[in-house]
Amino acid sequence: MDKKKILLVDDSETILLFETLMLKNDYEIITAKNGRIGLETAIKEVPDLIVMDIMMPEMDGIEALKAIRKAPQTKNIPIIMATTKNEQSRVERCYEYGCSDYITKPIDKIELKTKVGKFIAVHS
Amino acid sequence: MNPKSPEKSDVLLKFFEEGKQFSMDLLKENERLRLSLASQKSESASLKNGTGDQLVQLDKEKEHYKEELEKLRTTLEEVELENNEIAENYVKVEEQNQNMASLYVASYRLHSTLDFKKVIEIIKEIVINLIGSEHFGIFLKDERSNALCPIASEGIPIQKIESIKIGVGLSRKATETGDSYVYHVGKKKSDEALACIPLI
Repeated sequence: MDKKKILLVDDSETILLFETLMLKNDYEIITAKNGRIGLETAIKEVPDLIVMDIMMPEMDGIEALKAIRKAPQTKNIPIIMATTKNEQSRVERCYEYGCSDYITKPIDKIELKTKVGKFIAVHS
Repeated sequence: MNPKSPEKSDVLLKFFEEGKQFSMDLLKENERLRLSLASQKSESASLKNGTGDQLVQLDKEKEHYKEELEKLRTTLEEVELENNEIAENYVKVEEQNQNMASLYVASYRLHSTLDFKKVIEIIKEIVINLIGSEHFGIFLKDERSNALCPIASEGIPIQKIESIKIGVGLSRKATETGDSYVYHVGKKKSDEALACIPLI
């Protein structure tokens, strides 16, 4: 069976590397370093799930989330936002614009795998 | 009427024969009933003995099953304990696994460049993303002034961070021993902590 495709969007290479390490055994991973590249990659690749940071250069996570929800190819893809404790207030806005869930940095491996697994199962 | 008349003697004979037959039948019936009674008595005694044996057997089986049940309960308790231990170990292994992954990522990133500025940026990224610290400063040891000078910060403007004389304050233990120094502000481990981590 083909592995499900997950798009990781974060300007931090450390986070991209960590998330890739946590998920690569079970999923096909593609990465993007900011919201704009994330949006383009999402439309081109149509992944099964997106894990996206909020604070990013060029286009932040919230703008990218809005754009992904507007595009017909990507409007139904589950999106998990990655936030820091300081960004909790932005989480409400993320939910307003249609994010599926969120995880807090530093990322907990079990939380990440559980939430990704849940949405992949529902989306399938 | 003549008593010896043939008609009368026939009647009498017939009467006695019927009486004899009746007595024979009574004796037969008596014998049959006696045998039947004896048979029922014997059957009843046998039943009494049989039921007693069965009760004893059932009691034995009951005791046996009680013992079995007790053994199963003990085994179940042992299995539950073992299960809890395995679950606790699983959590510990997962924690260690996560720590190892973080260590691998940090090490990989730190070794990805020799450029000093990039190394400092990577250290900031690691502290923010893998440790989760929102307020920190990075200091460089200045041999001439024997002080730790701030070179980068997060959550605090760098202008507000002063140099620290080596051997003074919270950094003393870390600089003297080279070991990380962590001070938990609250009682719980999850509460805020103050840390001083030597990077060499």
